[in-house]
Amino acid sequence: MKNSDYTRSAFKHVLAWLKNKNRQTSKIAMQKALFYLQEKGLPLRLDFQPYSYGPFSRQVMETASDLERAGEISVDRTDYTPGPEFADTLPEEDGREINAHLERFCELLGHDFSFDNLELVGTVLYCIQALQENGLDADKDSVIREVEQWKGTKYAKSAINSAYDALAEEFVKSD
Amino acid sequence: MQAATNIFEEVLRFNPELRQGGKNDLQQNLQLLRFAALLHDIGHMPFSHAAEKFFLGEDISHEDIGKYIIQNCTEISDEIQKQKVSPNAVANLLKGKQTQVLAILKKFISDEFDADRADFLLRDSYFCGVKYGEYDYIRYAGSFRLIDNEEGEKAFAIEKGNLHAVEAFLLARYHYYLQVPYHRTRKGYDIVLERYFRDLTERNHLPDAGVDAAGTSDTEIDFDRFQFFDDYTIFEQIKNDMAGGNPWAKILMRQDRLHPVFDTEKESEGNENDFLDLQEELDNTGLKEDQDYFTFDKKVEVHKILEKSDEKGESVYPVVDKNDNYKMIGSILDHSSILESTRKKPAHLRRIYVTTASKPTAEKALTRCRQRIEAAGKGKKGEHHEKFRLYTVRIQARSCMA
Repeated sequence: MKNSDYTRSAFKHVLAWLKNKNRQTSKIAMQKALFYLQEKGLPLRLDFQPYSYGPFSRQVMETASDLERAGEISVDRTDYTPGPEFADTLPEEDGREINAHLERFCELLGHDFSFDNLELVGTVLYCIQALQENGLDADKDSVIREVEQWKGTKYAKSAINSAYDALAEEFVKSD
Repeated sequence: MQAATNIFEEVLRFNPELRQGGKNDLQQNLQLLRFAALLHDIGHMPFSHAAEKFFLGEDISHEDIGKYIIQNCTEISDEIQKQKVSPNAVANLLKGKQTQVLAILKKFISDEFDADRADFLLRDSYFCGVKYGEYDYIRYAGSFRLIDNEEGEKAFAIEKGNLHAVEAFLLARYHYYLQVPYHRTRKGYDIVLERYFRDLTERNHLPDAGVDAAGTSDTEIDFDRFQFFDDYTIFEQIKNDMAGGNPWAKILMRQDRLHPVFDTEKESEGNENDFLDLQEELDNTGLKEDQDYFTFDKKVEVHKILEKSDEKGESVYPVVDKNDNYKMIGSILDHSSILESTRKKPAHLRRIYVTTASKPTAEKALTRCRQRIEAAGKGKKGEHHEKFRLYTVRIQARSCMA
């Protein structure tokens, strides 16, 4: 499967999974779920940038526009919804791998798909990865400082702390 | 690099807290920004975007190559380190995750209003000998402020008094795109160049760029080969292939050309149905797409600022008023009637080109297509019929001149 086809199929699979689990299929939920999957090593080849509400990939938006044109999904101001031509085209084995990661993603969120919680968890994960990628320590204090530099005073230290604790074991590399 | 420096220094001029010794010292990162701006296109292949997918495949981009070069080419990384700058930080500014400080710097080199565009518009228009692309660079470079939005996040804003400079920049860019990269003659050569590369790929004759692009993590580059692999290398191959009878090489050496037989810029000149009808007519005559004829379908926007506010109501590209303590007074779209009115009406370029050998057949197909549409429009005085006639007349006139 070509990489761009994989990304498109993964997008649809994540959307279908969230829908089946009665989770929100908001744009921000899709952005953060796909970001998490990429950080878990899935070859989505999406370029996530630190944006207003946490990591954001323009390519996700473009994939959604392509799918909308093909009648596979509909897009409104805040949500993506499967459309009349929707078909989950991801091979079963790839689907199983993604499902397992998505279950874990829900646990990390504490099953709270609110806008703020998605933004916070996405931002903390991005900050952990950005510090490490730039050769800096991703200890708790550094990550809290980084999140505060990005998000100002929007999130209480205790909330950043909790998100960090949930993510650290999976993502913070030990020396 | 100079444009990035100018815009950066102008932002710092109006944001004292970002200067050396300020509470958010960004000044110390100027050298990092300059390296990133200087090197941001170092990973481009010859003829840049037209060649990229053939040499690098679908999964990696020139930015991945640029990142690899900065991190692995010691001649470059040593020079960066001599200036006490981290090559990794420079590389991550091109592609990768950024810390908050790096993310601010990234906006100077990759954004709707970035230094790259500010620079290439003026440079390209100068070297192409056109006036499209010119704008008030000095005023533009001083148009931006870094502000804390309502939630304390850093955001770029446009100072109200500079709105016309920003509008002029976006309009200059729009006209430049239409008149230079998407000009019908130049675009015809782009199409042929891609067709030529595809031909080389299919025949396994693509020259060795020195890049083993298995994937971003497995990429390897032979720097000795890569550094001299440039437009001249490709031109040499084109010359040789022309001598060997390659029809695409002949066009690239300007001994032949593609002929536009359908060329519209807006719906009133011919809509999507006309475009598809003609393609179908060409197919029915036995002409093959990407061999005998080529299509080009592209929307060219004045800008990509689609909404006044984002999902949570924050202004997209906010405007601030220096006479009111740099208070945010809405989005750029609230304050620019030109940008607001052009937001949802991009130029839509739809073209069909044919080879010289296919031109007589294509012209007959075009006539048949036109007659069919005219017949369908008879008695209705259809607007569609009138529009179609307009552009076909224009095309016929062009055919007579060719």
